[in-house]
Amino acid sequence: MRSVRKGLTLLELLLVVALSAVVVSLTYAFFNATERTGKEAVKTVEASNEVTPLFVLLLRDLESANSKYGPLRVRRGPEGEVDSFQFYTENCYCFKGVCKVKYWFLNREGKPVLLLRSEQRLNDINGNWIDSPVTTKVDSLELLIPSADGYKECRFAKEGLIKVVLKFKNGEELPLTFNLRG
Amino acid sequence: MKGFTLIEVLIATAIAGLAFGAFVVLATTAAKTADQVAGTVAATVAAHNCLNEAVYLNRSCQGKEEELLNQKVELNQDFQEVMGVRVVKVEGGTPNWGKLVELYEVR
Repeated sequence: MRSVRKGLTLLELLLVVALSAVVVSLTYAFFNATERTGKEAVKTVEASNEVTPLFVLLLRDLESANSKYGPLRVRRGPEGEVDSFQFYTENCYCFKGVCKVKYWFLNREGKPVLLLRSEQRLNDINGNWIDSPVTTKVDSLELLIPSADGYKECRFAKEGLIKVVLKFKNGEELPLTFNLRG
Repeated sequence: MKGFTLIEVLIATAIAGLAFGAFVVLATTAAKTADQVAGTVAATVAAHNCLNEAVYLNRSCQGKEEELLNQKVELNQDFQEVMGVRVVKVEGGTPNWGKLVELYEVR
C-alpha cells in the first residue's frame, strides 16, 4: 500500500520563508548594533584609561615644580613643534628631594613613537638620565601660557598657569591646565 | 515519531528568551557604564581646567560647553562664601548623564 504524507502548501512555505527572513534580518541588525556599541565602549574605556594616568602624572609633576632651581624650559624644533620640556620638581620617583624631569619624544624614522619621562639627579654632572616610558598614544604636545587674548606659545615659565595640550595619534586633543607654584 | 509537546516548546522558548534578555540587559549596562566613565573623565578634566582658569586667570566658564574626548561637557561655575573664605565651585557634566563632578578650590 502506498503511504501518503501531507507536505506543506506553497502558501505555508512562502510564509515560513518570509518569517525566517524577517527574523534573520532583525537578529543581524540587533547583533550588529550590539557589536558596534561594544566596540565603541571598548574604545571609550581605552581612551579614559589612557587619559587618567597621564593627567595624574603631569599634575603631580607640574604642580610640584620648584622653580627656585630653574624655570620650566621648552625646547622646540625648526617648525616650532615641542621637542622636549624640562623642569625641576619635588615629585621624583628615583631620587629624594628635588630632581630634574624631562618629557621628550623617542623618534623612529623621523616620527615620534614614544613619549618618555626622564629623571636626573639634582647635581648630576655626568648627564645621566633615568628614562621611563609614558605612552605611545601621544605623538605631539604643545605648551602654552596665558596671554591677554587667550594663550600663547611657551618657551619658559617660572610660575603661574601653564596649559599642556596632548595630541593623540587618533587626532584627539587633550588640553590640561596646571598651576606652577614657583 | 514523537514530537515535542506544546508545554515543552513554550518552556524552551521562555528559557531562550530569558537568556537573550539577560544578554541584552548586560550588554546595554556595560555600554552605559563605559559611557558614564568616559563622561566622568572628560568632565573632570574640563572642570579642572575651568577651575584653574577661574581661580588664577579670573576667566569665567559659566555655562560653557566643551568637546573633550568625543564627549560634550557642560560646565557651571559658582562662588560660595564659607566662613569669610571665597570658594570657587565648578560643576561638570554631560547632556546624557547630567552633573557628574563637582570641584572646589579655595584661594
